[in-house]
Amino acid sequence: MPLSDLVFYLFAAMVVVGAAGAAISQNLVYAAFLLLAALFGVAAIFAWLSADYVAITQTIVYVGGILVLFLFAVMLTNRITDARHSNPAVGKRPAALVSLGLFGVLAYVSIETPWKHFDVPAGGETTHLLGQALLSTYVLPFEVLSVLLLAALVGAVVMSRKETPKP
Amino acid sequence: MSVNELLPLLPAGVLVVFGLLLLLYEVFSNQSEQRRYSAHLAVLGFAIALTVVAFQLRDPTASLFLGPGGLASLVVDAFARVAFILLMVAGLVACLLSPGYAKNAGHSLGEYYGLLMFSVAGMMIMVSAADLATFFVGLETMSVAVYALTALRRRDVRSTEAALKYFLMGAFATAFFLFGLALVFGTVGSLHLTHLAEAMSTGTTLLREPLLHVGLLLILVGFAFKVAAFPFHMWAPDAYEGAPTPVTGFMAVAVKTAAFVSLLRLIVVGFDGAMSSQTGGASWTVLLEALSISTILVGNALALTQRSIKRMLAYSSVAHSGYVFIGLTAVAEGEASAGAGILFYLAAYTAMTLGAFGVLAYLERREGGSEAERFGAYAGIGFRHPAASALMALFVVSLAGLPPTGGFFGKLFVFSAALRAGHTGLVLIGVLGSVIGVYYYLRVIVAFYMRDVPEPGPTPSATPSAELGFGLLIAAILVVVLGVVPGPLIELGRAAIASLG
Repeated sequence: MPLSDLVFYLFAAMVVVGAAGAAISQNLVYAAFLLLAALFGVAAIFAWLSADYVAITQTIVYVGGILVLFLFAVMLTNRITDARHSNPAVGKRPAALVSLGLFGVLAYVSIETPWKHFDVPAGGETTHLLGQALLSTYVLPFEVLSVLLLAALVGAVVMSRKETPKP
Repeated sequence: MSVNELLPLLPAGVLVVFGLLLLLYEVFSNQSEQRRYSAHLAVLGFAIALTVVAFQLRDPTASLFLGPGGLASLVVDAFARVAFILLMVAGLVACLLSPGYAKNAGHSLGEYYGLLMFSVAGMMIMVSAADLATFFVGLETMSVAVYALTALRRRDVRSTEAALKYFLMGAFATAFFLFGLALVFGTVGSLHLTHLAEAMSTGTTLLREPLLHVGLLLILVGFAFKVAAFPFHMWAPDAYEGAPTPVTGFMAVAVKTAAFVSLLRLIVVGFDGAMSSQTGGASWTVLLEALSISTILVGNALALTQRSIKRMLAYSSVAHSGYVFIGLTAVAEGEASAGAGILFYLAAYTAMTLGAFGVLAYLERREGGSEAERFGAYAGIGFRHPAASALMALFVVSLAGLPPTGGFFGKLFVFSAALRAGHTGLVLIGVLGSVIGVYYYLRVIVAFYMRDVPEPGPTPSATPSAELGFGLLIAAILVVVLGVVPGPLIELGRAAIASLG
């Protein structure tokens, strides 16, 4: 096995173990840390696929932002670690069946299908290309995303602020 | 690209600008007395945007934001413009229904109208998107704004529960949709509808790839969640019950219209006949058929057993999704007239459903709660609020699909197109569903007019507001006009479908 394959399988194993652990773990703190492993593994695979920009974004946004937020939420929630089952699982058997079935289908089709191949851009740097695409072809979605973020912000403020007293 | 080229997007721009204005208005007017004009500002925004679309209606198709290969990521054609009108009328009427209700429930928030306008702008991106990445951004803009709108009734624990359920289910649906997008991209190598159509029509080898089908299936699941089709309808009754009633109306019509119209574009443009039996895509028609049959049967059966009017309307709107899926099945088999039928149906559905929820928003009792939403709570209300009840009677008659209302012609156009496509069985199921529907819709009229008033009688509720009266009037006029002279709109629908090419 070439070294690069070995690296891939290592990171893939990290993702699988992390994700499975996050789903199965009964303790929310453990689940959050295992999710960290999974997200890091995904970032590593992106880097391995020479998608450098996506890898960095994955690290900054998911690992650095969202996951730290998760951990803060978990740790600031009073006595959440005291709870014996802070993350109780319900309907384990049907869930396992559905997951296994879905895994079977997806594994089959992934192996059967000839995936579309894309050449890795020369120079190994994708940020430039992505920036060009975002400000030309995809400039509209890029702008609409700002409306989306604004709507999310306004929604969060509306939901979390004190209710105005009845006039 | 010059500024002129962006003119077709002006309506969406107007909505975003007015949404921002509303937020600023909220900032600079501290006294709640001054804020009562936010609804008027929102209505003005919708009216301006509607005028712009009306002027642009006959304009040629505009392809915006060309990418490599000259493919546009946004296509504003007659189809998109008709959808713009539908969505903005829904937004406008919802804005008119809101102030009276908000005053009664004690949440007069300017952000409310801002979010509503942002969500309509998102829907407009959805219905005109020519590639699935652009579409997805519009979808999320719509969804996030509507999640927040659902959670507005914060004093009511049901509203919070409803919003959380809707949000989690919606996020789940988004995940399905995105995963489907990734798989489609993996097979086709592009998310553009034109490339998808090429892959499906010429590359028959590609059509045989299971990965493409799994991807499209996941995308369809995402759509089914948004339109509350069986078996992805679970969130609908709770969310409809918990959201502020005008928002419920808006959710029921606008979100559904946006999702169905864009699904229509996806099927007509993206699948490009790949669903016909010659190319081996027949399994897709079977799938759509199964969706429509199960949605009609389950929606109607569950609507029969409800004791709350709001939940009954929620399940019946699930059934209405099923009727639209009948039309989509016919479209997938190349029966283009079904597309015009679907647009007509959605227009009629918008008017009658918004109207019904508007009347409920008016009659709902101040204390709220699940007790106040039961059929029994409305006993004899027809004599205390004759005007509102008469309108409610009109809306439920239309929902039941009886002439001379828009609901009747909506069903007629969709069913007759399906018959031409050879789906006799499907139409029979649809008619059966409609017959069941007549029973539970007439229960509303029975409760309103034929039950004795219990002592003490229902308290007069919502402060009568001119805006609400105006909104209900628009809805009622639309229902009647669509029922008496359906010709012009169905012609518009035909032209819209023709513009898809």
